[in-house]
Amino acid sequence: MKKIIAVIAIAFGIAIYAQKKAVEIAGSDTMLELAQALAEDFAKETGIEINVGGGGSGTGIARLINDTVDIANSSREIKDKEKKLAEEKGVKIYEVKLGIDAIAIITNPKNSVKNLTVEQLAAIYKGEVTNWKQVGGPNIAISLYGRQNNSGTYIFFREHILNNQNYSPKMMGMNGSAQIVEAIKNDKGGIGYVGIGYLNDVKGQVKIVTVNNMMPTDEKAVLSAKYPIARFLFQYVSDKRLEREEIRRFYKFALSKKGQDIVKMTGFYPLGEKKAKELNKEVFPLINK
Amino acid sequence: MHIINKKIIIEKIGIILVSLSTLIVISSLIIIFYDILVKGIDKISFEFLFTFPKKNMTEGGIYPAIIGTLYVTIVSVIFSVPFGITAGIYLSEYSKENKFTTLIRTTIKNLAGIPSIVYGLFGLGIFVTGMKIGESVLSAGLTLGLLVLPVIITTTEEALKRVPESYRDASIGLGATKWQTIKKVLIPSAGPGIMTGIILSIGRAAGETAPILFTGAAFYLHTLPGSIFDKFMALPYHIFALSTQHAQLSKVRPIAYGATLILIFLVFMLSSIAFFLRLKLRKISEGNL
Amino acid sequence: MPLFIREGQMIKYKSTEKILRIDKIAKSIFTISGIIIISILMAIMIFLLKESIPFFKEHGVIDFLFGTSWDPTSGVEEKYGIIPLFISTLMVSVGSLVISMPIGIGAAIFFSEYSKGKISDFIRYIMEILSSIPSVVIGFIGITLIGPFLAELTGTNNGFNAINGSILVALMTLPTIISISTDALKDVPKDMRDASISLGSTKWEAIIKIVVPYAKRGIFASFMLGVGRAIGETMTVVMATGNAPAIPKTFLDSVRTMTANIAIEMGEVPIGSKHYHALFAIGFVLFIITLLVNLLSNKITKRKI
Repeated sequence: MKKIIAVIAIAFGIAIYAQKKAVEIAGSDTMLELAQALAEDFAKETGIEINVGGGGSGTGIARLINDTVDIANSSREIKDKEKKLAEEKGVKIYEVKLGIDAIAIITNPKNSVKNLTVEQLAAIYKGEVTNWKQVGGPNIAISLYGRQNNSGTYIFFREHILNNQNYSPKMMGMNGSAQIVEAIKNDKGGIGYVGIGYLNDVKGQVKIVTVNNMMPTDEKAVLSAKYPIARFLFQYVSDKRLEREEIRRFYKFALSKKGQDIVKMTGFYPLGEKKAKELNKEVFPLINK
Repeated sequence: MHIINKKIIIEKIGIILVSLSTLIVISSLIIIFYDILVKGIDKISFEFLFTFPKKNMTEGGIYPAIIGTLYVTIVSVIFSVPFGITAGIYLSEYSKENKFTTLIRTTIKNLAGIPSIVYGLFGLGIFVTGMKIGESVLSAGLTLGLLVLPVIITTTEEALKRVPESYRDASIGLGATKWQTIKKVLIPSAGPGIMTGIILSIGRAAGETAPILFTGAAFYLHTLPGSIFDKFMALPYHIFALSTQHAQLSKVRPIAYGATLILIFLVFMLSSIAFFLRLKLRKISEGNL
Repeated sequence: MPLFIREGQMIKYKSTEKILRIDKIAKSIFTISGIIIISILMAIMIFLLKESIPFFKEHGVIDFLFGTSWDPTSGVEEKYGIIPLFISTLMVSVGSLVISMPIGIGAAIFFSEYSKGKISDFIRYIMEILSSIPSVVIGFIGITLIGPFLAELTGTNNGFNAINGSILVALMTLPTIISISTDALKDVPKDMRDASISLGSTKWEAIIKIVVPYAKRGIFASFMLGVGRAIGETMTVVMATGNAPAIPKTFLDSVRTMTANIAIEMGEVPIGSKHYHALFAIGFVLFIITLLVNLLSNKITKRKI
């Protein structure tokens, strides 16, 4: 009997220990798959487990500030408000750029509109344009699809395309980019914004609209900023958490060629090893301690 | 018109209406279940049930989510059923009819109306943070237990109140004490109603997402929870994440359906016990009228 | 001691003192647990209030209750008006009850009065199991099945609207209403029905005039639990009603219920911020609404009984 108890206790102990040692990442849904893929390969290589959750960029950063997560995935830059709150709580936050994401504007295949200018896009999302015929399309009411205010994609789009003006209150708030894609497949008047990582799977079911006549899938256009809606994919980590060796090793991995290949595999534009070092000047020395 | 004819017509209309209602309910549920069955059954396999997710959730199984849901439902039942039944007995048999008791009943009915997400907030504030239990099976289980408590209390009280006063009088008249009356006469008689409350609660606890979002549910963990103080994966959250947030929608959709089937089956197993108990109790109480 | 005494069975003897002692212990246990429960339930109420007050202090109640725009993260001007959210909740709850109450009672009457035997029990069993379909799945069905169907039917672009929400929430509350009402009806003593029929009424008359009124209290309780569930349903509406923050004008518009709003925004708010407390304030409003509905129903029951 005592032996059995001992064995069970040890097993519990190991299980608890195993869970405790894991790295916790949460935040951007856009980056969920990327983080998962990195976690899997990293675990294969080093045996260090990583748990990945979603919740939106805002959620991830909030958790980082509340010190309940190791790393926050974010598809937008951290807000000044958030930086201030972190300072107040005595948390110093470091920014790591992992890759580049282009945001695609998608519509239903039944919609004949091929291109939109940034101005048209803004007018549509502010609610000033409400019918496709106003931008040269069929006479169908526009169904506006977007994300929620916890989403980095939502904030980024509003800052860069709407110039921080308000979204139309008629814009529907979907719970993830996947849901936007899903909805537009069935809505002939639909328009939505999603990271290109979400379009690996949907050939022919949604249509990608060119913006200023550029495609988000055109690497040159994106990297040269000719395609106007592109953004960095960030990870935020606190100074306290960087002290954990597992996390430093993770970043070495993510910013190496192997990691950057994974970025590419999940559908984003990698920075490449050289650029990764350059753009992450601040954190690199800390990572390589 | 002859009064008998009128009555017959009304009777026929009445029967049609109630049969129609039942038909609507049953056919809606059958359509839904059929949809889930057809789209999920292919996924069910030994691997699906007993292995961890692989390749970024697009392959492998949902074993940890199944175990997580089981753990957390059991915790919530252990907490809510004894408490709920005893509170229901208290309200029905021991408390006096005054303003205080009315206040209590109103409180309970109100709590049945509080959104599941608010229970989640309470769980976060009191169990996770306040009592420092942290995000865990215990916190989430207690939170779910609180969610279903009003249902159990209300159904217990109602079932007891439906037992005719004559039973109590007869029992006391035969020399039994209050507790003996409750134990041997009232509870068996009210048994079926109480069981209904339990059945409804099990289903609710196993299937809720909002209360466990911030109290312990995670999207991806590498190990099973080692104790009730660990985080866990859960079927409802898994289904939500897979169906709204995962990038490779068409690959994970079948997994979401499969997970749904499993969840329904799980609740089926847990409720079956309560269901058969209810049948037995009803037979006893009806047979002995 | 055995549950029911059969002829010739030997009974274990307990002294009177022991029996009375057990009785006293039982009474204490029940009273204590009753008090504990009440305290827990009160704690939730107080917690809600405590976390909402900072928001009311900072922002003021009038603008919150009567403001027509909800946009707490706006880059232009933060807005905290709950009218759009309130109207959305109203539309979805009332819409769902209009569907679930009549159908619920109808089905309950069927199960209790018109179907007998093992098959009936089995059907009810299946229904209760199917009713364990989680809110997430119902929401999912709303997106994949019911939404497109509604869009076809009404000629709109999509099914992310209040009707979809009402149907889905009705689906979620029906099992509660049916189960509890069926129990209430089944508990009506057989003599009542027999007496009525022997006096010349038809079965239907007996049901409507005698059985249902007798079971009134239980049926009403099931309605109240149903109302509570309808107002408080979260995940289903989050997934299938579009969550647009505009004031909905028709049932074919997208709605954003108070519950959905809390679920969506809670993960993002830094603990202790104005937005955080604003969400609790919404929770508090929901609580008050449920309170008022229950007080109203108490008044109605008092008059009936």
